[in-house]
Amino acid sequence: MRRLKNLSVAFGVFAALLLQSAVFPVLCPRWAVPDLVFCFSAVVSIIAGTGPGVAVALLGGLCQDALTGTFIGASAGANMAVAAMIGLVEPQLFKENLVTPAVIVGAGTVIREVIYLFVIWSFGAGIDWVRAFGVVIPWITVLNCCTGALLHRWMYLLPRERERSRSARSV
Amino acid sequence: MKQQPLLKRRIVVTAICAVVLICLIYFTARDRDRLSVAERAGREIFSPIARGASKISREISSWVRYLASIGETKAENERLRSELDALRHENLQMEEAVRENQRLRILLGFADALKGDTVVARVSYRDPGNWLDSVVINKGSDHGIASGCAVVTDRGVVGRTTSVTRNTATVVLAIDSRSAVGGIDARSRDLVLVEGLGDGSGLLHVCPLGAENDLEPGDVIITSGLGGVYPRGYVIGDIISVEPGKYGVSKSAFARPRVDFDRLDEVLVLAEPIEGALGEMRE
Repeated sequence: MRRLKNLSVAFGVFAALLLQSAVFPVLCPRWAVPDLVFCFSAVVSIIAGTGPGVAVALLGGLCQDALTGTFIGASAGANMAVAAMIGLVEPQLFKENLVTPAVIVGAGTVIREVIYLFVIWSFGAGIDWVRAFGVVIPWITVLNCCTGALLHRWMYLLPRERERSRSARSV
Repeated sequence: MKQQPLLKRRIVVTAICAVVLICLIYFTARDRDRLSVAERAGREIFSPIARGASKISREISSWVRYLASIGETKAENERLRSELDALRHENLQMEEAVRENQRLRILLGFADALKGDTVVARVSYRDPGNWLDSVVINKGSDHGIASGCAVVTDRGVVGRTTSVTRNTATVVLAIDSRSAVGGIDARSRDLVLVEGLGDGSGLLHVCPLGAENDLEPGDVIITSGLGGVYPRGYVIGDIISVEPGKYGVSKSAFARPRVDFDRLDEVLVLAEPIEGALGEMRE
């Protein structure tokens, strides 16, 4: 059962990377792309807490960086930091609606992008900060909010609804 | 009491993770000729799958665009017919110019600028993030591509290769902030350095190398062949605006590349580009 879960997480990360790098840029050129890997790790943190969230963030972030071979560890570090922060507040979260993941993923996106940009800027990448904060980060935040809410519904709310209806039927 | 060792352990694990990641970023922040075994294997597996997904997406995208443009097709058809007549006439003149060019080339004993091998490659996937402008192509060291090769299309300069595996290569695009190309103004012959802005605008920053220069909007910037990566004569972009420098002494400009980086699919890698460029210089 655990192996199946690990496999599904690995498949999720793979699908997210494929969509992010090969599908969205072709379907919507000139648009910002939602960071599916980050959304996935953030939602896992909301559902299951720090440990699994950070593990998914590390795996996904490293794969994301390794695809082009530059700044390896920057995405992983930023994703892990935010997953750990979400994990810290996870016990206090009300997870039964879609507003919680949308708000958490949105706030997490801003923190994640700031950490990531600061890291790659420190190691020599040129960043247009005005455009980053004025255009790109707001767009990614909106896209990630929607993606986070959808993922939360798919990974947490739907299975619980199914479970509830199954137990009601058996009663 | 029990919580203190747990807290200590967490702090130690976090610190170790941070140090490891900072070291990793430091060692991979620059262009790398060699990738690790895991990276090579990952890219070799991912690239063809991504290429397939990209191809399907392209098909879907073209169908959607086709369906959206059906209404405009009729009017466009009429316009294109009249354009075709004009182009036929122009083509006849061009054919004559080509024949004349060939004759002149023979007369001057002009050799082809490109002596090295060229490799046609397709874009497999793009950088998954929103901040770096690089793509991965489906040809690598097995096809004669090495790190530092020039990548072009029929419209002009695309970028240069950095990390290469057997069947893939990363191409840092000319619009990336890490890119710098030696260029020359085709009209005024001023030497310039063309850098990617990397701000998502898709524009290039043109910095003249001399204090006195004559850059004007509409000028075409071509590769100078002096950098050792790109052969001379490839179009980098067209100047769209010229601005005075900080103290009004020099000028700098912005150029729009002719290559459409958003719809990049097929590219040409110059596997041995330096012969053309430096050979010309030595002569």
